[in-house]
Amino acid sequence: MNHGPAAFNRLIVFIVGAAMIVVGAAAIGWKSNASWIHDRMQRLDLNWFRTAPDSSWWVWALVGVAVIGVVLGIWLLAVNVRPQRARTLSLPGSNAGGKLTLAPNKVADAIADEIAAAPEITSAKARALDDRKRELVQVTVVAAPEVSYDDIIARLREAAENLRVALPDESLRPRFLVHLDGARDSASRVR
Amino acid sequence: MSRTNVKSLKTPTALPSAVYYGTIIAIGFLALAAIAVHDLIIEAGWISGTEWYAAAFRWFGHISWSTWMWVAAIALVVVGLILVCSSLLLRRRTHVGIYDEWTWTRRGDLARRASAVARTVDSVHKAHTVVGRRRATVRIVTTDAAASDEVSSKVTQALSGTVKPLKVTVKTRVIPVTTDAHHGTSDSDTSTGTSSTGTGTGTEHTTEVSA
Repeated sequence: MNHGPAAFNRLIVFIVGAAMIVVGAAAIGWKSNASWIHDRMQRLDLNWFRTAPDSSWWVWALVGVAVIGVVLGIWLLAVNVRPQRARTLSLPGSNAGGKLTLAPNKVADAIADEIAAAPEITSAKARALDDRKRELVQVTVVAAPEVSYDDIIARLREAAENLRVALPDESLRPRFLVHLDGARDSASRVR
Repeated sequence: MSRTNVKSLKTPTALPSAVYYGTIIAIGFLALAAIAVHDLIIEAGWISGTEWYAAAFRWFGHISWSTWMWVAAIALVVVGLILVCSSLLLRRRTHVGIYDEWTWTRRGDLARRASAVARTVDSVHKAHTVVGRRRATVRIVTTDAAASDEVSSKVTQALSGTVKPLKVTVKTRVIPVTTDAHHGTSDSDTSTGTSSTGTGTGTEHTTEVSA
């Protein structure tokens, strides 16, 4: 997720959370006879709430709630459901007559297949993503703990070089996550 | 591998926890919009029924305290605090760098590698590694007290690729040669403790993996 959408998402969550705290605290303060809250609750015109649905602007308020709710809801969902979606690559040679494009996940799959074929590697899977404005092919490589990092890294450098040669003009870069298999009879924990 | 016209890579992180709450809030916004549309259809006279927003406003206009409001008020404050905290939390780093900016591993994997390397020493029967921010502690069960130095050297070499240096410490538990070490040791075993240290590469928070 990039910084802009992440910041907006955080802002919305913060505002909703703060509003819930204010409403909840006001209710508790009201019953607890906290003078500061009581004074403000006394000034609250409850009659306004009773008559508001009969006002001429009520329909427009409903329209506003519907529009803002749909826009914010769909926008937030779009940002959060696939927060790191990578864009389609546009290849050199595209012009007014036609556009050459490449799905970055196809590139990711090819790199994962190449790495997984190495004898040192147990498995590899990859996906293209946009991580904070860095377009990446993220490859998760699994190997046995008996295999040295040097041997694994040597394989990964080959794959990275192949990507660089295949797409020299693109900003798409590899990111390798090296994971080692746990022993079958062992327990693991993080603290 | 780095290209001069692009930004440096960021440390791999988990998604911000606000993402999950943001999704729930998005569904809430859509629900509010759906209720507004429901009320507008009734206002237009296309269907008959009760307008929910109007009913809620009128209910609030006659509000008086009820016991259930304690539960609702406390729940609002608690959920609100969770949301505010999650909106302020930094992204959790999931990996540490090894060798260069595009290769990463987890602290648990460093621990697994260290334990595997320690077990390659002949006299070592068990190895267990804890990797913290600055230190990798390898606990070994061995029949040879001198194995500590060899394990320290090998583990230091094995973890030398990490971007931030790790200090490697080996804690040794020596058991008699006659003991069937492959079946492990118990608290009643006669043992002596020694330790040795070396310098390798670095981490961020404590991870413990038995391997």
